Amino acid sequence: MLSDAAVQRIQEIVKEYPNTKSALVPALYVAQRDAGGWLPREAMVEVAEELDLPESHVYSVATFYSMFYLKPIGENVIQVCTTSPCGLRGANEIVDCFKKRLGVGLNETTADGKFTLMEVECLAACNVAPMAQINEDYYVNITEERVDEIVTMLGRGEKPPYAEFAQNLKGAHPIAFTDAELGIDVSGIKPADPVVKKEKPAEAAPTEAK
Amino acid sequence: MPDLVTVTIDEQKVTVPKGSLVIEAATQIGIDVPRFCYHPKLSAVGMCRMCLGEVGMPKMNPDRTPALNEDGTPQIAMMPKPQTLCTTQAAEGMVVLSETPAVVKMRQAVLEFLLANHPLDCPICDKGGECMLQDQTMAYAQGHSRVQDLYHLRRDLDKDYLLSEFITLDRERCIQCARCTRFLDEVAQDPVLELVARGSRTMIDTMSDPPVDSKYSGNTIDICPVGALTSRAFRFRSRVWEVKNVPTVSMIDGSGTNIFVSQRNETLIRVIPRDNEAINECWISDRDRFGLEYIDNDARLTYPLVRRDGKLEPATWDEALQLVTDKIKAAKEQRGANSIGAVGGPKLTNEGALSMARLFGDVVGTPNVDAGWTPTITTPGKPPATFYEELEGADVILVLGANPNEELCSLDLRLKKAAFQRKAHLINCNPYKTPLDRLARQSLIYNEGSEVALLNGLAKLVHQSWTAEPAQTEALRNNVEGRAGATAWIDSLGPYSSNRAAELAGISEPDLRAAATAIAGSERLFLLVGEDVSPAVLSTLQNLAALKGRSDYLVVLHPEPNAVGVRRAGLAPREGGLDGQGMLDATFKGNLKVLYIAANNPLHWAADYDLAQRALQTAEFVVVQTLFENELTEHADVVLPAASFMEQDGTTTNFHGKVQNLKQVFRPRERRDDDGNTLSACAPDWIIFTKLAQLLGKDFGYTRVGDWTQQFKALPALTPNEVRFTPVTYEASPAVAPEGTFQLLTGNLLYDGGESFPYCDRLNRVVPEPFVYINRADARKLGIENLALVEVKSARGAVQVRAKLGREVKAGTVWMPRRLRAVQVNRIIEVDKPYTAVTLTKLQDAPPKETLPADMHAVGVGEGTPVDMNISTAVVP
Ligand code: SF4
Ligand code: FES
Ligand code: FES
Repeated sequence: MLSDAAVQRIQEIVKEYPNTKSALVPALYVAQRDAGGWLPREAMVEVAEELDLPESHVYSVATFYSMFYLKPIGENVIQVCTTSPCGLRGANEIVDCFKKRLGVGLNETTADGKFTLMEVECLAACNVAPMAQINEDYYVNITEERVDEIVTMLGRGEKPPYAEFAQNLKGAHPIAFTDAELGIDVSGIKPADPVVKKEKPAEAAPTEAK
Repeated sequence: MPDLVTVTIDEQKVTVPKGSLVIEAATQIGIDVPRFCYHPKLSAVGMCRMCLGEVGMPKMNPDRTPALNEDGTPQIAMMPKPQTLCTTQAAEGMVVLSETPAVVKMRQAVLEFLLANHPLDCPICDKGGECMLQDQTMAYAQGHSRVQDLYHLRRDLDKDYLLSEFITLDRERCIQCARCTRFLDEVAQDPVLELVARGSRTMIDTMSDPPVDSKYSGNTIDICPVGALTSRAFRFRSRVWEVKNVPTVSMIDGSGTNIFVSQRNETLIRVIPRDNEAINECWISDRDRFGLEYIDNDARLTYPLVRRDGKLEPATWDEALQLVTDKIKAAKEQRGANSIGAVGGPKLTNEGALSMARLFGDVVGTPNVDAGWTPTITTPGKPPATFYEELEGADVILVLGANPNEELCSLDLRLKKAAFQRKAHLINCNPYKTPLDRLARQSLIYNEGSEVALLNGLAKLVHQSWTAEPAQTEALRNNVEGRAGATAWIDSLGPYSSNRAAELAGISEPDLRAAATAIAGSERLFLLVGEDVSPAVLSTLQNLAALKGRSDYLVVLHPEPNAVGVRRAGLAPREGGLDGQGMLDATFKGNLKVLYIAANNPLHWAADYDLAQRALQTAEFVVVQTLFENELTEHADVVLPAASFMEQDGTTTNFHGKVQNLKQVFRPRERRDDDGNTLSACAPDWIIFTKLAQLLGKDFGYTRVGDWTQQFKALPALTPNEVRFTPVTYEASPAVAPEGTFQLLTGNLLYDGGESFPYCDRLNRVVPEPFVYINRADARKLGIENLALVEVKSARGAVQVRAKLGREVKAGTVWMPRRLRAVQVNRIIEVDKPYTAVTLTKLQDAPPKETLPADMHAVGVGEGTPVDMNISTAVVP
C-alpha cells in the first residue's frame, strides 16, 4: 500500500504535466521510494490506478528504466557502466573487482543485504570512464583500489568524498522533493532571450557548382 | 485524379490512392514483400526492418521541372539508404526496387539479428508450417550467424512462460514485432500486453488481472509471425498440416463469426478465424476460439433416454420417437392440440427451427410455439446488407441498453474501430458503466427504467433543432410530414423538456443536449439497442429513427446466435397461442400437458426460476432435445440427443439478418461397441423433427437439409421499415429504492459458466467467481470491502456472492450477471415488480490476496539467467 503522503505527492506531480502518462516516471519513482526502494507489483498497480493508466503500460515503463527495481535490492545499488567507451577503459575488470570484493554475481545481492551489483548501459559520463552509479551518485575514473575503498566506506554507512551529487541533493533524487524543498524558486525564471538571427555576410560569395 | 498516385515497383506500374503504403501497393500487383511487423489491420511501426527496399524519387531541376534522361524518361534519384516499405507512403513517380542484390543482402543481415535469440526448435513448434519466420529464413537466411554468440540474452530463458489461461509465450522465439501489443491496444482496445525491458532483453508481458484480460486475446496467437505466442489448448496436439480446416460459422453468439474448425480423426483440434470483411474481418473472440471444445466431450448424449419407473434409461431412437408420438397423439385426442406446447431456442439452425415450427404449427396443430421464455423485441426494419461497412462509416452511433463486450464480440470490435479509428461520435446509454464508455464521446448512465423519458427528451430536442435551423429543416420535414401518427407524436413530446427528461433519466442536462445536437447534425446515424428493453422503448427509438429518416438503421442486438433466424422460421406463437412465459404458466396451472423443449432451458432463461421448476414438475410429459444431460433433463420424460451446429450442414442467421452456411465438421457423436460398430448417434434437430412429423402422419418429403434451407429462404425476410410514429409516454416507477435497499440491475456476462462451459476446459477456468458490483461509496457505508462475501437478498430469496467495488454502478444500485456459475438471478428477481430491491449483508471478509501461481510472472525482467556480455571474448569470424 502506498502511503497517503506518496499518493498526495503523486497527485501533485500529475498537475505539473499535460497528461498522466507523462507523469508516470516521477510517480513510479515516488512509489519506489515509498515501497522501500523497489517496486512490488501492488505498488505498480496502485500507480496505474492513481494515474488511470493500463497496468501493463506501467509495467512496461518500470522495466524499461534501469533505476526501477522489480525485486528487493540491497541498501546500496552498484550499477557499473559497461558500454563500449567504459568497456575500452576497463569497465569489465571493474565489474570483476566488484564481484570478487562482494562475492556476488550480477543482479545479485550480498548476504548481509548491503549491496546489489548490476551492469548498465552508458550513463553519459564517458569522458571520465570507467564509471559507476551507486545509489544516486556518480563515481568516476574508478580504479581497483577505489572499488575496495568504496565498498568499505559504503559498508560502514559513510559516503566517499568523491561521490558526486551527494552534497547538494542530500543523497536523494530531485523528483522526490518539491521545488520548495529543493529551494528552487521558479517564480523568477524567465524565458531565454530570443536568438538573434545573424545575416549572412554580404561578401561571402556563393559556392561554385562543382 | 488528384488523390491517386502511380508508383513503379520492380518495373511494374501500379496506381493506388494517395497515402497508401508501398507494401500495400506491392501486394496489389502480387509482389510479396517480406514482412513481420506489418499487418494490414494495424498501425505501421517499422519494427522488424524485414521489408527494406530501395526507393527513388524523380529528380527535379533547379527550376522545379522534372529532370529527364536523354531518352525522355524521368531521372530517378535513389535514396542513399534503404527504406522500410511498410512505412513509406507511395508518391507520384516513385520507383521501388524490392528484390535487388543489395536488398537481399540486407534481409540476410536482418534475419541474422532476428535469429540471434531464436532457437532451432521448429520441429516441436506449433507454428511450424505456418510460420513467417520459417518461410523467410528459407528464402533469405544464410545458414550461419555471426552474432548469435553475442546477443543471446533470451535464447536460454525457460520455455513455456504462461501468459494467461489461453496463451503461453516462448520468450526466446519472440522477434519483438509488437503485432500482439498493437492488436490489443488498437483493435481490441484492451492494452493489457506490453513490450517490457529494453535492448536485447525486450519481450512482451502482461500485468493485468486476470493476465491478458481481453475477450480477444487469442487473436494474438494468429498474428504472431513466429511461434512465440501459442495456444495452450492447441499446444503440442498436432502439426498444422495434419488437420483438416473446415469452414463454418460459429453459433456461439449472434455475430455469425466465420471460423475454420480444424479437426483430425473426428476430434476438435483448434478453432481459427476465417476472414470475412463483412462480418468479423480476421478476428474471433476467445469464446469462439476456446468455447467449442464441448463438441467432442465424452459427456455428450449419444442415445435417447426414456423415463422408466422414475429413472431415465437408454432407449433406441425408434422407441423414444414412438413414445413421443403416442403422447402427442393422446394429448391431442383427449384435450386438443392446445394442450401441447413447444419451445425452441436460438441455438437451433434455421432448418432445425423451421422444421420444428412446421411440425408443431402444421402437423400437431398447436398455436403454442415460441423460441424463448421471455418476450423479446426484434429489429423493426431491414438493416443494410453491408451492415458493418456502413457502421464504420457512421458519424453518430447511439447504443442503448447493451454491452457488446459481453454480448456480441464482433460488433464490439467494430464499434471500437468506428469510435477509435473513424472517430464516430459514440453515445453509450446504459444504466451502468460498460467497457465502451471509455471510447464513447458521451456516456449517459441513466436510471434503469427511464429510457422512454430519456429518448423522448432527445427526440424533442432533435425535433426543435430543425425548427430552429433552416438548413436541416427540409430533409427533416420530409421525414415527418404526412407520416402516420406524426402530429400526435410531436404533441406527445410536449412534457419532455430537456430539464425534465434529464432529471427523470438521472443524467445532466448539458449531456442530454450535447447528445441531441450530435444526433440532430448527423447524416449517417445508427441506433443499436439491446434485446432486453421493453417494446415501448423500441417504439420511442423507432420514432427517433424515423425523425432522422434512418428507420432501417435501428438494429436490435441479439446476443444469442440464431435469434433472428428462429423467429423468421416461425418459432413464435400463432393466433391465440401462448408464448414461452405463458406456456410455463399454463403448464403449472395444468392446462398444458405436453411440453417439448429443444435447445433451450427454462431453468436458466425463464424470468422466474421457481415458476419454471414448478411447471416442469407439474407437466405430464416433457421432451427435452439437448446435447448434454443437465438440470433440465432431470425433469424430462424423454431426452433426445441433438447434434451440435458443427455436426450438420445448414444455415444460420446473425443479428443483423445475414444468412450464412454452416458446414458439417464432425460426424454426429456416436457410441460404438468394442469392434467399432456404431450403436447409436445423436441427430441433427431437423432430422428429428422431420421424423416425428412422419410418425404423426405427415411426410414432408424432405430428405436433405437443403430442402429445408430452400423452404427457409422462401420465407419473408426482414422487410424495410414502414415509417410511422407512435406516441409513447413515460410511466414513472418509484425509481428510488426504499431506505436501506438497492435497485438490482442485471445483464449478460460472456463467461457465465453456463451450458457448455463445464465441457470447455480452458474457457471454464476464466469464469469468475459469482459477484455483485457495488458502488464504492455504498460499500463504504456498509463496511463491505472489495471481494468480501455478501448476501444479496430480495423479497423472494437470497444468493451469496463476492462484492466487487467500483464505479461501474451508480450509488443506490447494484449489478449482477444474469447467471454466473450456479448463481442465477432469476431465483431472486421479482418478476411482477418494476424492479427488484435487494439488501446487502456482509458475511465474510475478503480472502487474503492471492498471489499469482508460481509459474506465472515468475521471472521479472533483469532476473533472467545472468549473461556475460564481455565483448572481448566473442569471436567474430
Ligand atoms: S510475441 Fe509474437 S506478435 Fe508479439 S512481439 Fe513477439 S513475435 Fe511479435
Ligand atoms: S560508456 Fe560508460 S558512461 Fe558512456
Ligand atoms: S514489415 Fe516493415 S519494418 Fe517490419
